[in-house]
Amino acid sequence: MLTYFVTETNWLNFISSLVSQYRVFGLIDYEGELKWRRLNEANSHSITITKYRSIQPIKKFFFPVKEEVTAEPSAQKTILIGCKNCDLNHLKTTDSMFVGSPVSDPYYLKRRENTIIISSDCDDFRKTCFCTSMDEDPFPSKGFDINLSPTRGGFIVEIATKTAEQLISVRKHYFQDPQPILLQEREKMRKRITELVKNNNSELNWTDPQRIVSSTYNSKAWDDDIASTCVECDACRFVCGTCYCFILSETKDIWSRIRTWDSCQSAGYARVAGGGNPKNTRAKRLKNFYACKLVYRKENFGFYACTGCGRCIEVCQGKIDIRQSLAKLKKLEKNV
Amino acid sequence: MFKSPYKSIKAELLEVIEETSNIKTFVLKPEEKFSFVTGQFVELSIPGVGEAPFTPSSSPFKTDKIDVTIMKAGYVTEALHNLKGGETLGIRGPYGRGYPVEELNKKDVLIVGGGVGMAPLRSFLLTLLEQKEKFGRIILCYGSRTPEDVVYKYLFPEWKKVKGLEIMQSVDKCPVGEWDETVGLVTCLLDKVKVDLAKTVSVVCGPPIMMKFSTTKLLDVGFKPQNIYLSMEANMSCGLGKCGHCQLGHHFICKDGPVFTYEQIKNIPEPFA
Repeated sequence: MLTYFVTETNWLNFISSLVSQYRVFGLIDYEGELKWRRLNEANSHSITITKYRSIQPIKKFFFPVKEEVTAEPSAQKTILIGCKNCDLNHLKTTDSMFVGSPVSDPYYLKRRENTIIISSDCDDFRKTCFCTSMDEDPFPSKGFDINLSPTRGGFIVEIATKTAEQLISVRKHYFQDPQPILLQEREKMRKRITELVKNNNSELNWTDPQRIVSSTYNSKAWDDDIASTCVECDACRFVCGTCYCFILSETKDIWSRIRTWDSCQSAGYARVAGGGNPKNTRAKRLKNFYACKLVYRKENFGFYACTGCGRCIEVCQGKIDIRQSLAKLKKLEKNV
Repeated sequence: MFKSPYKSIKAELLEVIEETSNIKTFVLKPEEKFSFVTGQFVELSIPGVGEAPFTPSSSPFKTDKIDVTIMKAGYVTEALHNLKGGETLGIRGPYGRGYPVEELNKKDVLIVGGGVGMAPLRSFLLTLLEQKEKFGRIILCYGSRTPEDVVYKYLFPEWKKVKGLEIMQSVDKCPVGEWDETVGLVTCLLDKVKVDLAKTVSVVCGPPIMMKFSTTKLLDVGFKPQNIYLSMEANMSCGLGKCGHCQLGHHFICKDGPVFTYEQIKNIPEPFA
C-alpha cells in the first residue's frame, strides 16, 4: 500500500481543491456531536477528520431514506471524509445485501461505485463504543480508498485503490514520504486507542454473542426485561449502519415505485394480509433484531452485522444497551 | 435499455372467476412473455394502489395467460376483488425457488392443501399431470372450512376421473347431508391415506396453523423432515432478498423459498407463527 505524510494545512488545502469537482461530505463538530455535512470552500477548513464516528450512519449516502427505484440510477461523484472503521464494517453487510445474489440493487451499486471513501483512525471514543468487544479495531485496515492516521503535525496517508492513487497523483505536491518514526508512532497510537475502548467496556464479560442469543432465544427475559422499556420509536434501526430493510410503495405516477427505510421494530413490519403477525410483541421484535445482527447474518456471511459502533445505545429512549442485554442473557444461558 | 428490478410490466386482466364468497381467480395476460416454475411467486400490483405477493395457480406449461387465485384478506386483495376485468395490472417476477419437480421423479407425491393454499398446489398438480408418467401415485388431500369454501369446485369432478390421481377431501364442518366425504380437519385424511414412506414425498400448502399441524401429523406418520415440502408464504415485498420483510431465521423466503423442506426450517423458532 502506498503511504505518504501530509501536514494538516496541506490536507485541508487538498480537500478545498476537491470541493469544486466532487460532492464532498465531511464531519462538522457540533459540541461533540459529529454530523455529516456537504463541504464547500467556506466550511472545508473546519471539518473534524479523526475523533470518533458520527451518530449518522454512512449507509444514507448509498441507500437514502427515500428514493424512487424504477428510474434509471444516477450518481454524482462523491467523496466521504472521516468514515471510521465501524462505518467501513457496516458496508460489508450492506454490500452483501445489495450487491449480487440474486440480482444487484442498481441504485446502491451505482452510488457505491461513484463514491470515494476517505477513512480515519479513531483517536477518541464515545461511551457507547464497543467495537473491540465485537473483535473489530478502532482503526481501518481495509475497505477504504484512503485512510488517515493522525500523527505529529498531520496525517499518515494510506492509499488503497487506483481511484485514490489518481486523486492524489494530480495533487502530489501536498504529500511527502513518511518518516519511519511516524509509522512507529502510529502503531503506538493505535494500541492506545484500542486499549481505551477495551477499558471503556472492561465490565463486559461476554464473548460469542451468536451463541448467547441463540441459546436464550426462548427465554422469558426478552419479555420481562430486555425489551420491557422499548417504546417502539425505531431510532435504533435508523441509526444502525447495517440495517437494510425497506418498504416499497406505489406513487401517484402509477408505473413508478419508491422505497423507504423500514424498521423491524415497528408493529406492522411482519404483518401479513388478514392480520397475522409472526412478530407481534416488542420482545419478539427486539430479539429478531439481535438475532438478525448476531446470528442470522453471521450464518449468511460469516461476520456479524453489528460492528460495535454503539449508535443504537446512544439513541435509545428506553435505555436499552445491547452490551448490557448480552451480559444479562449470558447469565441466563445455563438456566434456559 | 435500463430495466429496474423493482419495475413491473403491464398485464391485462382478462377475466375474474368467482371461486367462493371471498376467493377469486384472476386471469392475466402479461404484455411480455412471462415464464415461471411452479411454486415461484409473483408481485402483482394495482398501479397507484399497492403490490402484494401471490403464487400463480395455472400450469407453467400454459404460457399465454397466468391465473392467480386470491383470497380477500387485506387492502390490495380487497381492491383486486373490486375489479371486473379489462383493467391493466402490474406484474413482476417470478421470484424464489418453486417446487422441486425434477427431484420427484419416480416418487409418489402426497399433496396436502388447506383453503386457498390449493392455489399454488393447483399449479403444482397441473405440472405433475402434464408429465404423469414420470411419477408414481399422485394423492391430493384437500381440506376446506365448509363445502362452499372449496376452490375450483368445477375442476374436482374432472380431476377425480384422472387415472393415477387419488383425491380425498374434507371440510371442517357442514350441515348433515350436504357433504359425502370426510368431515374433520385435513389431518384426518392423513390418518386414512396409506403411503409407502420409502418413496413418498409430501407437499403442503395452506394457512400457517394448517401447515403446522399437517407437518406434525406427517412426522407422526413417519415422513422424514427432508421429504416434507412446505410453501412458507410471508409478506414478501421486494422479491429480491433485500427488503427484509420475509426473513425466516437466516432465510429470506423470497429467494431461498418460498418452498422449503421441513428439514431446512425445523430449527427456526416458531416457523409457522
